[in-house]
Amino acid sequence: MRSEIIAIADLLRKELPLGQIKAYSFGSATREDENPNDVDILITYNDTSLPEKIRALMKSLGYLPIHLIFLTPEEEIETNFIAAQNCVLI
Amino acid sequence: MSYRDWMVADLNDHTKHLEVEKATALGEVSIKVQAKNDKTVIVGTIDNGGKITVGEVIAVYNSNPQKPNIVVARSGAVWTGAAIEYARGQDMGWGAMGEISYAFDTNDYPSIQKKEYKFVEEGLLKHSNVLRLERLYDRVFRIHRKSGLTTFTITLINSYETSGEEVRHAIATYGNFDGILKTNPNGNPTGKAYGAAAEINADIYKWGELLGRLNKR
Repeated sequence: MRSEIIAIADLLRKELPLGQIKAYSFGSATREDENPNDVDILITYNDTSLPEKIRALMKSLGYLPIHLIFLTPEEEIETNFIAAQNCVLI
Repeated sequence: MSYRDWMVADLNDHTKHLEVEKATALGEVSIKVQAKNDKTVIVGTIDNGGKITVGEVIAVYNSNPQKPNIVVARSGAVWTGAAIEYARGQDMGWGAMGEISYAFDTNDYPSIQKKEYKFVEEGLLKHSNVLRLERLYDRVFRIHRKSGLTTFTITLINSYETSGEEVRHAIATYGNFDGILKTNPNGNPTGKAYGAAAEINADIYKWGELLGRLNKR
């Protein structure tokens, strides 16, 4: 797994209560043979206060663009996002 | 490391930026980028991922030993309409790192903006009922219409599956609007996205639907 994605996962584990969210990476950053210009992250959540907190946390990770998508578990089922985008749990 | 210095290092990564020959720091906040097609572009940088004000753009413009052709801010930055208007008025493009390469192939720098915005701006101006556009933010256009029709304010969201959170985040960032233009033609908004938009009496449109909506009261 890329160092940027490991850093994101570590920060989320450190700063958020256990079990509040699930985080997944997808897109070019998950493919080891590519040199991505950004990192795509899916967060599934229930607490509506968490997305803004997570956005603020990601700004502390430096300059690499991180694109965040937030879906509730119901929205994830509705869109089948994890399967459709080959998301990888981080 | 400053944003400018991070960008210099990134632009010199030839596996990422195939069109760049060499990037070097210039002054305090600028970069001289030499493209492989021999074009040289001066990039002014703003180390801010929040709201970009006209004052920040003026500061970059004035601090440069050479006038920038394009001003870029950190990913996630929200450009105010005044900042965009000033940049364009000084013959500069605006955006983020992804827009720099557009400057390699044109001298029409004020036309440079994110491709998504350019498509919408140019498309709306061709609509028979559009009188003029007022840019409130990078993603927000107030559309002044002809034939006595009221103004209609749209916010652009570019995602495959527009979620409820994206709509709430757009409202928190830009304030209320009349409609959301889903600029990604693929995928569909979720039920929660429609619900969040309805809370401010807005609807979500795809491109063709918006063009039709502009003909109505």
